[in-house]
Amino acid sequence: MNRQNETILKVDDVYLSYGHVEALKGVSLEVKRGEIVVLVGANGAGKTSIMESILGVYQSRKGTVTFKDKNVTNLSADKIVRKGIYLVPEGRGVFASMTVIDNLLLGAHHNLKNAKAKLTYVYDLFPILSERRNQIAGTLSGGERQMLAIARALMSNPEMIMVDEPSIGLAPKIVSDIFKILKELNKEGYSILLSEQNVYKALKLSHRGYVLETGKVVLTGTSEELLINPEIRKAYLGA
Amino acid sequence: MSLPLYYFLAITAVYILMTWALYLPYRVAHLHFIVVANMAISGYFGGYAAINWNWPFLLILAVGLILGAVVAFIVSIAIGDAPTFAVVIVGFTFIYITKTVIENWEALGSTMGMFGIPMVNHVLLVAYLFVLVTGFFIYRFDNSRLGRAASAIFVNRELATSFGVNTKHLGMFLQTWAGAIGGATGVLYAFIMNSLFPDFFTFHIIGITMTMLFLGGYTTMWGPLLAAPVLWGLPLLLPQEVASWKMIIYGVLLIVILLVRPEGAITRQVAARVRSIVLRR
Ligand SMILES: Nc1ncnc2c1ncn2[C@@H]1O[C@H](COP(=O)(O)OP(=O)(O)O)[C@@H](O)[C@H]1O
Ligand SMILES: [Mg+2]
Repeated sequence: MNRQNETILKVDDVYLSYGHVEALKGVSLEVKRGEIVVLVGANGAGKTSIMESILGVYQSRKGTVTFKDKNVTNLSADKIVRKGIYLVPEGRGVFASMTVIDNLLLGAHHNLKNAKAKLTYVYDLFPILSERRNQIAGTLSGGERQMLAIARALMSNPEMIMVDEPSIGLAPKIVSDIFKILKELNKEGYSILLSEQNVYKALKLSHRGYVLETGKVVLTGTSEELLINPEIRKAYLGA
Repeated sequence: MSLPLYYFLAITAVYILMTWALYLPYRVAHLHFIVVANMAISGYFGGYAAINWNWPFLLILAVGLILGAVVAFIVSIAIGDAPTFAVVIVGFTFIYITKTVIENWEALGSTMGMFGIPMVNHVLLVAYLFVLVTGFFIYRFDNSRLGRAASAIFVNRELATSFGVNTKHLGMFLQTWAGAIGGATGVLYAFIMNSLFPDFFTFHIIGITMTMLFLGGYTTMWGPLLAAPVLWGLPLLLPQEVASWKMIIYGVLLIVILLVRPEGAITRQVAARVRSIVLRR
């Protein structure tokens, strides 16, 4: 069965405010199965807010979120995670005082039966994590922490992962490694929603993109289109 | 067994249990003083049931435990996911209300206290069996996926939510469990002392158990287990003039430990090291 082109995630007219701050003002976007979709935008544009809205971290949002043809808008985050979405949070969200393996098992919170097999799988992908498994996660380097955060997401057996600004604070070489890993994972079938300020690299990696400004989508298209778009080149690519 | 030794051991069990009752909700950063009110409610209930209805000790213990759990569960529906300060305030309020009700309730002895709770055999044995069983289940919890999730909530509640941890359910579970321990401990206390005074169930016991928790170490269950006998036993060995400054000594110790060793005497690293030494044998 060819499931390409099937929409896995649909966000429709979502609003979110934190008290008086309106972070999202009617955002709509979609991710097709097998796609890497990137959200680009400056600090404060609303990238993190979109991801957290999709997960249902804030029940105060308005609009609809559909995942695998099911309306998940009113589900709590733990139910949405069970449906197969997992967030790799901004700043990695690694628990520094826990061991690497405990961080990984946290990802398998709803999937403990398969935890053993999943551990083998992520250790295979990230041998460095296997070496460091009993180390306190606080002792890992930035790149290793990012790998741990991605590996933890895979432990939950997701169909889609949302990766929030993975390149922050990493050396260019490490960023390329992380992006390579994301590409690999995508080839294995994971759909990916990525947020980035490293616009050039992100557009090179992704299939499609959305440009966000102050809580609104101002531009969308395939990554090739966006890469040659004059406005993007001026605002984000320094051309 | 000599009487002082008996009381030392019995009250040590009470403090271990009450400190564990604080420890459990604190796994998700809830400083839940309502357990002290649970202790009072179930303790007074137990004393009353023994004196007036001749209920047997073990039945009272079971009912006291359930009573503690039910009260804590109902409250947890409102504050299972509340911020720490809200939980603290609810706890204080609950203690205050409970104390006021007891002080104005003739049948419970009001401010005079309740006397004549019958002596029963094997209270000490039952108390330590309860410590053992409770400790076993806390150990199981701490090393389970829920224990891991609780540690995540302690560090960052929002992040834990985004990883699919149901923070409300876990908070409710821990508060209810702590309430059950508080209730059962209240009954044990009533039968150890054979009398109850409303003043005991206030800042006095909060101060002592909090010192035990933070001095012993709040990150593992072993901190309370060790701190309870030491902190409760030490003043008994001191001369009377010094021992009467007990609460001040506790206060100073608490401040000192928070400054020099914020996670308390027994941290996770210490526990892990001890475990690896023991397992190697
Ligand atoms: N917890 C919060 N409380 C108040 N305002 C917030 C909070 N989180 C984000 N915001 C605001 O919402 C807007 C969008 O933020 P965010 O989604 O974090 O943007 P991005 O991830 O693109 O940097 C910003 O104006 C930010 O200041
Ligand atoms: Mg962000």
